[in-house]
Amino acid sequence: MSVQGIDVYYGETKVLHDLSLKVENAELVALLGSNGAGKTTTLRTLSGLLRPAKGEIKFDSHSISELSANRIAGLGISMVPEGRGLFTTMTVRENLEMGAFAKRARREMKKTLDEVYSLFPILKDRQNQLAGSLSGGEQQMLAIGRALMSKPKLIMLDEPSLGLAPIVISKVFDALKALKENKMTIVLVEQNIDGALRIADRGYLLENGRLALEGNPTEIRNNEMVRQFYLGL
Amino acid sequence: MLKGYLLVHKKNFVRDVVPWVGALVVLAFAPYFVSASLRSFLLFLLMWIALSQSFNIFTGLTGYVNFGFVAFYGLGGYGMTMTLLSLNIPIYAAMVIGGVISSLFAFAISWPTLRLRGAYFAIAMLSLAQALFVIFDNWNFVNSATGYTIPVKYYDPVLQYYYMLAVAAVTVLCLYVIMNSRLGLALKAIKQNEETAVSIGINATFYKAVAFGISAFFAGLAGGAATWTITIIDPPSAFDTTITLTAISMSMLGGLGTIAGPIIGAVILYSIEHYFGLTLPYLHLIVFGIIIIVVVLLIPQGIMGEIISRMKKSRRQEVGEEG
Repeated sequence: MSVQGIDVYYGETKVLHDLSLKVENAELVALLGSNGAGKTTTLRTLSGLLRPAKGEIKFDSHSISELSANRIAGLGISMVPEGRGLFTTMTVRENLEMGAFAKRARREMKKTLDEVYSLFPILKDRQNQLAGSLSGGEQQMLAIGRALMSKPKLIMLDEPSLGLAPIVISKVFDALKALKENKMTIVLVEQNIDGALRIADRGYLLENGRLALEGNPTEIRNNEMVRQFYLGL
Repeated sequence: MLKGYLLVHKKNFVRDVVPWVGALVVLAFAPYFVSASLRSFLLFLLMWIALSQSFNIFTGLTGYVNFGFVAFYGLGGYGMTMTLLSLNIPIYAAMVIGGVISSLFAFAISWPTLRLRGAYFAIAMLSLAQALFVIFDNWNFVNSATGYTIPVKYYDPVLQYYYMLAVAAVTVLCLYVIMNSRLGLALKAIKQNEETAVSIGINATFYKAVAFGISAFFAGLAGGAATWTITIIDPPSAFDTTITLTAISMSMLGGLGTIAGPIIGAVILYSIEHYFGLTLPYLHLIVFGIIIIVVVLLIPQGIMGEIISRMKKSRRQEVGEEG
């Protein structure tokens, strides 16, 4: 996926300024920054929920900046929204089956379901429980599992670590690492910069809707400004 | 083909189908046994079943409360009457045309209205129905305030009963098919979380419009059959907001989003209206109001909604204990 010079507005307010980024296949790219930096806006634009006023987004050589969100999902981009967006009064299994709504995904539903269960065994134990009754970490795993059910080529996660205990965060991040090793392309939005840099191949740092820094984890970690303001070193 | 495409889940055929067929058979033979006044009661009960159920097809499955529902009923009634009077075709054909007109109207307004959510959608639909009333009241093409009368030669109370029975039965059947289809699955996701549904790849705009159009079609059929029975149609009766409110009350009481719910609600509320309406005119509205308040406070999911969620809960507990 490549993003070239997009501007995004909320009403009159410009929230993303001339943003460009690139995600290669089977790469885990972290989109970092503090509150209000434009991370979530970027993800919502990439998934078609917002439209850029200028610039272009390309995926697999298709231009997707003008497509509706459900068409983009159909091309194989799956999003795990902030707050997880689960169907809370459906069971775990129903949530996962709903993820395989597309005809293409439905044919392989059984096989994908087994893959998701082997990635997150706890979901299999809980498959008949209501999604709303799960713990925060389990809900996050379910949200990721549901995104995988659509057989995506790329998944985008919005702050999967939000509100989770450190031990649960490392479980979620381990799962993302395993997915990447299975050739999944991942875009990870995080405020937890330290954790995200541990598993990312490359990172982009956003500040006030502008690209402030990009590079591999070591470069970002060693940047003087990042050390001072984000990592507190 | 049917199972894989139309029906997503396997169903318990005996448990699901037998009671319905039984009820249908009883209702089909009823005119041979019951008095004319009871037959007329059953006819209007079937009309309310058809109306609350077609209301349910859209609002129950999507969660968008349609306060302009009566527009579909009224357009169906006008469509049926005007084609019957001008084209001289069989009544059932005129009714279908009425349903189609109503459905086309729904598709036409779905683009602007279904972008709205919650109270905004409800208000937009309420105003649309009111606007139709004002337009029809002043529009010579539809005979303005005078409306139309169905000629005496079409009078046939037994046939009217069977037509209404057919409309109600097909509406219920259609809801069953929708709930077990991909459309139903999509609507279930949209009702719970529309944004997530879209990001899973569900074309929410399309599926909502389809449900809207189907709901309008059946409300239009019921409007046509009702107009034939009542024999007159004019703007105040065709676009009467009370019809919307009654359909809402019936499906809420019985349980929106369930198949049996709106039927139960229609039976309870129409019986109350019928008997108290005669003995204590207008006081039946107070009874209506009290029932709605009690439902909202105690069983917000309605009678069937409550029963179903309790059944699911106990089933989950059993599964949990075994595991």
